[in-house]
Amino acid sequence: MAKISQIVIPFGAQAIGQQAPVVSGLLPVNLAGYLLDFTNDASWPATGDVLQLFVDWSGNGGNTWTPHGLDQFNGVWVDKQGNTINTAVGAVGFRNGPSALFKLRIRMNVLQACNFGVTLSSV
Amino acid sequence: MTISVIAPQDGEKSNSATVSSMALTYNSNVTAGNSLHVAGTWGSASGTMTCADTANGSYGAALDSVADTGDGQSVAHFKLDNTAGGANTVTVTPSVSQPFVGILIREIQGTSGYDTHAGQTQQTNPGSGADAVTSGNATPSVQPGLISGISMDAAQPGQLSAGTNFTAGISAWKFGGATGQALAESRRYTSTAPAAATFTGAVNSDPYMTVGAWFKESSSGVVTPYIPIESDACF
Repeated sequence: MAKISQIVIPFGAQAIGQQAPVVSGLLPVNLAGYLLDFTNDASWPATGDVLQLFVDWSGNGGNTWTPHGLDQFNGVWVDKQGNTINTAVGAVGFRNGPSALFKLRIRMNVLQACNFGVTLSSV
Repeated sequence: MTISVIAPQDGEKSNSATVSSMALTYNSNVTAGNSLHVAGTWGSASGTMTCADTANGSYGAALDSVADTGDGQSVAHFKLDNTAGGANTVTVTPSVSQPFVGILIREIQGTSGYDTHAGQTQQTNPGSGADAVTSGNATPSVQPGLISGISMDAAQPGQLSAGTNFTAGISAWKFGGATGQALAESRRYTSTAPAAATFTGAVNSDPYMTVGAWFKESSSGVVTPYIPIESDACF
């Protein structure tokens, strides 16, 4: 299935605290999973938990939500050679694709001021 | 009930950014009494990982923790028996923040619990023949049962297929790529002979990390009593 952008939190300064959820539209039936493309910059805090990124899912078009995943970002991002990088990717796979009326949403709890952006894409 | 992995409950998640923990929720409520098998990976050949979930708490020490020193990646796996039922979110936590973290979760039904385990660190150049990639043998105490196996090729994705007579589970840990670097599988066994979680690796020169957990079928080892029938008939 093609990679289709579903949720975009534009790169920029993220204020400390709980951010309002950002919700997708209805997602393709039987999608295989989703990707999260992350971006930060050189001002990213080097120590401590920086940001909690929650992904929730809904099987009824957004009437109710269930937690699906959480990443707790902490530390400088590096590639396999140990070089500092400013882009990273998260991925989630489904064994059996969800049915119609499926939506995802992103919630962020920003613990330290940072510049950050994320795009969630269905695949 | 015959022991089996609940296929729709297989789940996986990965992130190449540096994280201090990662969590993933089962697609549906887990069933009370079932067993859970969880694997985690992190981007270092050192360090450890712990596992806990919202329904049951800590999973205790890892069954095995295996490392690929060449690619700087490790895999650990955990089990939990007799789970509480309901919604369940599993969290893996590396001992220090790590990049390239992943989690894989499985639910097993028809089981009376964990039996044994095996783990193979950095199996280098195993060859591309069938079942060459292996967790190494473990000997179950009873039969029948089920092997839940996970293998990872940290060098490149898409190289693994399930071993002979194993059923492939979820392809895991894509880190944004099109295919996963790990594969889950399972096989029901009916013998207490030593056995391994085996896979086939397409690239014979890649290093592989493979782990397996053995679970007893809920009727394993139960002896059906012989009840003689007495007759008052006289001939």
